Amino acid sequence: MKGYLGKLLDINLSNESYRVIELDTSFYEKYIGGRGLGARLLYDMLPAGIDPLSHENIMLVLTGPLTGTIVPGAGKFVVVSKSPVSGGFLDSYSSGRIAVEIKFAGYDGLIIRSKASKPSYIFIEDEKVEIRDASDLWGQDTFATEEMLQQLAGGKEVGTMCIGPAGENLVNFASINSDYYRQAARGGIGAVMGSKNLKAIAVRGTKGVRCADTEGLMELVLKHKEMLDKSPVVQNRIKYGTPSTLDITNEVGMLPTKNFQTGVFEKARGVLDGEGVRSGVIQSRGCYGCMIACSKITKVKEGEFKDALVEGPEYETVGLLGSNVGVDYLPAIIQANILCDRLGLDTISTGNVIGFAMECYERGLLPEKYTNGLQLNFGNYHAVLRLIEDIAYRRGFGDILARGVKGASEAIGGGSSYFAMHVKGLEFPAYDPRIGLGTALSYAVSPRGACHRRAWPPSIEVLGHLEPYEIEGKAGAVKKLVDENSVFHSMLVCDFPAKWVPLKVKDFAEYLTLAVGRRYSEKELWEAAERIETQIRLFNIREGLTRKDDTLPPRVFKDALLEGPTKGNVVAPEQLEKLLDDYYELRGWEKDGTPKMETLVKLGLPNV
Amino acid sequence: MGLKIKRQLCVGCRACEIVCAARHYDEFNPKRARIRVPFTHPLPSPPKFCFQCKKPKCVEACSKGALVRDEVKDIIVYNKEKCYMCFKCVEACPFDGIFYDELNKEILKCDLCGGDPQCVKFCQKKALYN
Repeated sequence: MKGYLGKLLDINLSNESYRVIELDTSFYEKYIGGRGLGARLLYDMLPAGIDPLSHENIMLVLTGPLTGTIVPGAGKFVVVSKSPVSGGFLDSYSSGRIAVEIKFAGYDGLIIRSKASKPSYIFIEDEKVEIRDASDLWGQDTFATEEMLQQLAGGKEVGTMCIGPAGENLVNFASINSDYYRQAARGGIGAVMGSKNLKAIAVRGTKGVRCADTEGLMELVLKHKEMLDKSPVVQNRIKYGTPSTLDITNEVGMLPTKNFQTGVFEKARGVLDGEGVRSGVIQSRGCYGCMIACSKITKVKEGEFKDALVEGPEYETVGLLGSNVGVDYLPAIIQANILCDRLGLDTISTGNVIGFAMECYERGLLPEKYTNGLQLNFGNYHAVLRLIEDIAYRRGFGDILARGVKGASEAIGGGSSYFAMHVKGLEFPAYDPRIGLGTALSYAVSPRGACHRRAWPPSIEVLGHLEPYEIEGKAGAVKKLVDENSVFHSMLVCDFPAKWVPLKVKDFAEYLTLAVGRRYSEKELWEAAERIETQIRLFNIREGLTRKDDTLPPRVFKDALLEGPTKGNVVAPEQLEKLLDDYYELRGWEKDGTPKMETLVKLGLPNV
Repeated sequence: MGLKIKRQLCVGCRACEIVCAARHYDEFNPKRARIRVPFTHPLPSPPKFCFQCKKPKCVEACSKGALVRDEVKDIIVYNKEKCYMCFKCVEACPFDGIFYDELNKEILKCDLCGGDPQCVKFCQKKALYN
């Protein structure tokens, strides 16, 4: 089989051993790669009920059959593990040179087991695998760590992934960083790495990836490249990057503002939107082989953060470290973005946690011993910057916030769980789910917790043709979006070019055929998505998550949005229940969310 | 005539590097490319490649005649048979445009894909041209 390499490198940190495992072809055929392959391997390899931050957890660093090729968006990797946030399935994605270097070294992925006895990093150069002492790296921020890793590689360029102080300190929303500004950020995957005493992984491969029909594959890319020039969405992304999303979310009233109290932030206009961020852009950068290059590098021109420079800020960061904390000063958001990147924190969850703390403060729920004189009013960006550092180092009140909004609300009490904006412990991304029932459903059923990456229903109920609060047909539409992304994230390709060019599942079936050299049909990939999503459900059920976890925080059910076009929007609990019934039914799951036996048989999944 | 680049248009995506090796070796392997994008931080860098110089330092440095300027095709041609792998050409090139293939143990330099350079075709930003 071409495209794939058929091998995984299995590393045990406690006894510093490794071996190469060969995977049966049927695994690839049934689960594709990336998310899908991770779903099955995690289920098979982990005993039920283990503590995610113990030595018993594993980390899978996986690529896909197209990784390393010139197929649009094929420079990504995923880290799969048991989530310290939800206790369920966790997949966290990033770009970065390490994605392709793993493949070039001859592996489809890495399995990281157990826990090192002291701070360590893994160095891989093709067949050479070493577990090295990382005492000099431990405590360093991610930028310094990357620079040191390049030096330690002795002049040969390596792809790296590493954690910062937040990961070392097991912060609930610590990220894994790659190429300075790229993060596998969601779900506390950096804490899992920290719990293994693993500071970094550096990989260099010399072997390359062979495809069954290289020329045919390149011809198809050229064809898609022509479509790209004609796509208005692509042209917008090339010009603005993701921040122009704020133009839409603020206009329609789904921009998280002051801890999701409202969906409109008037002060963002011209400042935090597409044009606002663009005023600071000095350069674009493209990920591996990308035709779009949506990443924008921004520099602060004047003021107290003069010369601060970041690759970003992306829309999610502007939303959550901007409007959600009431900040309309872009340079402060850029500075906050840099701090999160260096310390190894997810900007999405960080913005949530600080917004949550600010609401607690304004409602008088925080005792003086927590705040210690810090004025936590919305808009106080100095407080935001201070808290980011306190969280990463778990200093004072930062130690409470490092638990995420769920853990922090449990510690603070006073009814604050009402506005702790999370699903399954994972904080909300920058779209208020009260925008429409599809968005609400997608957050509720997302296996890793509140997430905009499993499906983005605003595409159908804000920009598309479906009525936001119509129930009929909504679960089916969401399921289709989830399955489509399931294919992309198993393949594993960035779904930005896929969505924007646009490229369909059919196109990727063609790419896979050209890469692997066996005929893949579109139908086969949709079926694989069904299998993968139910496999993930099996894992979550086994780990104790049930229908009751497929829910939303009280605010979404009880507080109507206050202003703008979404004024009065609120999700009724019975609406969500109906949607869950529909969604489970379409998936072939029982009313309680457990996959039916006939579904397992049909999909060829392990019977529990 | 050699490749040219509008440096300010480059976003460092490496498409040129990826398709170069694919064209020459039928595999996706940037470490066998004849054009390479160094990773730089915080700003990306444009690729390094052979400009097919009129007065080439590499040819001057090669005592074995493995690198020769072909005036008709207007490019510098590499002959592996004559090469002693002394890497003097790699060191002499002021543009860091000559590389080493670890797998085939040979010098790598741009041959313009025989007149139809793949990197130019795949450069989305139209930074590369010839």
